Amino acid sequence: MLKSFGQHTVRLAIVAYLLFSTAILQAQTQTPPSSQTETANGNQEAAKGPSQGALTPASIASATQSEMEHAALTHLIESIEPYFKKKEIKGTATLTGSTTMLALGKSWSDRFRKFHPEVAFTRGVDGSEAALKALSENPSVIAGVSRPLTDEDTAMLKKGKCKDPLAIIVALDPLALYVHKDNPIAGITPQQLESIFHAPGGPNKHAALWGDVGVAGEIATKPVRIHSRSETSGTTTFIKQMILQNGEMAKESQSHRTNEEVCKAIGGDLQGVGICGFGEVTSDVKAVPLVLNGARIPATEQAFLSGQYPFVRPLLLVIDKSQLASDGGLREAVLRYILSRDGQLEAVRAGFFPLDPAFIRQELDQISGPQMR
Amino acid sequence: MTLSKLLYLPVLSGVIFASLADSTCFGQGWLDYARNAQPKVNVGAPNNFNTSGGVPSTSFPSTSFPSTSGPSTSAPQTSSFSANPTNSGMANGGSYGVGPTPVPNRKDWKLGVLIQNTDIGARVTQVEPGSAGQQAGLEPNDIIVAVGGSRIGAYDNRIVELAEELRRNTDSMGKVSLLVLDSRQQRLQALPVSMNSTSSSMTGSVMTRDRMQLPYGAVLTVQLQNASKPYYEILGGKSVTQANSGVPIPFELNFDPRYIDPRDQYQLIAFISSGNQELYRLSQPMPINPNALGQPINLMLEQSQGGGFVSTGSPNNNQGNVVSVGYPSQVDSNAVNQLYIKILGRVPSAKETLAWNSYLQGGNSINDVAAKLLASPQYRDRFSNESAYFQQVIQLTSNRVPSQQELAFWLTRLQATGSPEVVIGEILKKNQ
Repeated sequence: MLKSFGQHTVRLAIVAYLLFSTAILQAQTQTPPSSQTETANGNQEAAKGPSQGALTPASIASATQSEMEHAALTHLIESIEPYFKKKEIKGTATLTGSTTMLALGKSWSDRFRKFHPEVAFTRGVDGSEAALKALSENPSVIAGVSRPLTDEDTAMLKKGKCKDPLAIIVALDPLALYVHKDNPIAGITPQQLESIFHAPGGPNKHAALWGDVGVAGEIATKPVRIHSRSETSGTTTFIKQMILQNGEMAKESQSHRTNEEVCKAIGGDLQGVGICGFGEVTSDVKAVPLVLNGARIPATEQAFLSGQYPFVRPLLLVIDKSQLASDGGLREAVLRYILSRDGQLEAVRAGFFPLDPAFIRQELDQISGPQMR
Repeated sequence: MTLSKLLYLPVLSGVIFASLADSTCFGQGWLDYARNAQPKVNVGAPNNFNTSGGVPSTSFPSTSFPSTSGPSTSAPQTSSFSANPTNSGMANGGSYGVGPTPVPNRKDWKLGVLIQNTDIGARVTQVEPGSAGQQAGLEPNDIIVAVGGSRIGAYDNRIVELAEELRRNTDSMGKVSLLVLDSRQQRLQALPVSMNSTSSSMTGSVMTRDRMQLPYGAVLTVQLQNASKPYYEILGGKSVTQANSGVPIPFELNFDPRYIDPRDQYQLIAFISSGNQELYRLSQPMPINPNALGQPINLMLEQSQGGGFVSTGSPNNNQGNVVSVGYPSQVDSNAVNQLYIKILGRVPSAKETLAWNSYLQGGNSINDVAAKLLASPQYRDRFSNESAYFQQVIQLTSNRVPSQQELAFWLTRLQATGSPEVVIGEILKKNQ
């Protein structure tokens, strides 16, 4: 129906509506204090919300923008089917994996138990590597891995007791390069990204100074200081695997316990740089846009949800597909729940991103067998 | 797609299959595979970021990252990123109040086929006897290339799903035209199909008591809910439609009958809202038997009280732990914002707001939200040890500094349960 009005008319109508409704809402609602947005260049001035009652063109545009985003997000969520309870299930499932996956797994299992109160969950070993090892020894566990599987992983699993490893992506964790908010860098190409993190001797000349990645000004002659997680963290393993192609990480990196601490450290270090997930944003750091084929793609939620921003870490659950039939449908139901509307919303509540609905359908085909269209 | 390329399809599809089958999360194929998993949400406004020529390729074409094979052939995806960093999404949820948005509630049309996605289209692997697909002449190895003009399949790091395009493009009588690559004749054919819907339909109309004119942008939400199990959402159970043509407003719910359990009680709620402000509501949820739908249902909505309103069954209670079923509340949205600011020092993003509203509507309380945020790794990671963490939690939630004995107690509870969520729940309960 809206289409017949013509886009221009619709925009004018929305503006008129907003002018009308703001007058009413002004009295009733309170604008939250300065918000931290996931914007690319962390412009401090723009991070403030529209002040109460101020209707600038920018604030109207952002309101219309926010309505459209809300509509688009709603459509995404509504395209994911709610969990369908096929039958009663009982039994015990063991979830094992990285700290990230364990926390998420706990939320999922609590919600799952509302549908299936006779199911119990036990917690297995900690860590992606340990989880895969556990799966190779006991093919009935569910291994949570916060990085993609390698050929070596698959081989290891098959050599053990996990004969038909099936890796299901259950949530997404987009990553960005973070720098101090005053670092003038405007964008970074994948090659430049690699050159920062790779030890000398890699395919691209190692970037030791900020000038090496095209940054001008006072900072150009200063060394690049990497802040990272420990060797065993999923994020670091991911960086090594996917960005460095299993090459060596640059030695001059300072290691931190959590992503929070990495971000904090960068916020206190003008020459600092690191890779973190979206949402770790504090006001002292900013995410650097990726430059691909001459186009600058900001590291924002919108850019990621539209499919444009490509730098993402998949979160996986790995099971033995050949074993699925042997537990009364328990693991299948758990996976179906995680890929359902509520399961995906639970991932959002935990700070991650949901999957594309069509992709979910394809994964469900793999888990439950091809579904009739 | 040229004719000559189509002729090579039988050969190509074998190769494509093999690569698609192998391209799971293993080894180098992961990047393309993970990109398939990424949402492709079209935010609507014209593309206004910096491009040198059109939309950036979705591949990562450097030496460092594995690149997608083959050229990008998709139509440009329109998307929108503000050139000026502005408040993203729901940051200003209080000021502009984005409420429910209209989403078409369409029937579930079934073709009766099993498919495998390829980059040409959806290859049919099996056809159900007696189905609409069989009647239209579909056979295994046929490839459905497009549905009602929309191309389907797995291409450009995305999957365009047959079921979704059937929903979108089929008319109200169940008819749609498919473009099919016939496996035996090796040529493209337009194939009209006539399908049956597997959803149950509930129709009716909504009136307001005072019949006043509704503001532009007002929407009507009607929802079928499982009153016995508020967390058990029904597929197709909600309809959100434009309401500004005035009353009566017709509605239609096309829900999936498989989700209906004859042992559970069901109810219908309805409200008219503008932004996130409720204007009218069905004052009491209407008990309903979804298995015995006879006549169309007529609902009379009363004007809502005040600027926000209370959840059903519990007067003036949004801060407690009374389960609030059904009606979303403006107060809830603001409460979530406030919690985020208090605990995480920021406002929730658009997707987070949606996710928490859904959580609250599913029968959880605002206290539950607080507990989850306090127990989240995002929050916990800020502290170098568990003791500092619990100290801050107690200070934040009960405005006092806990004693050493108290802290020691909670630490042992954490060791015993292994679950920060459980311990936080206990702390919050104790505060009351």
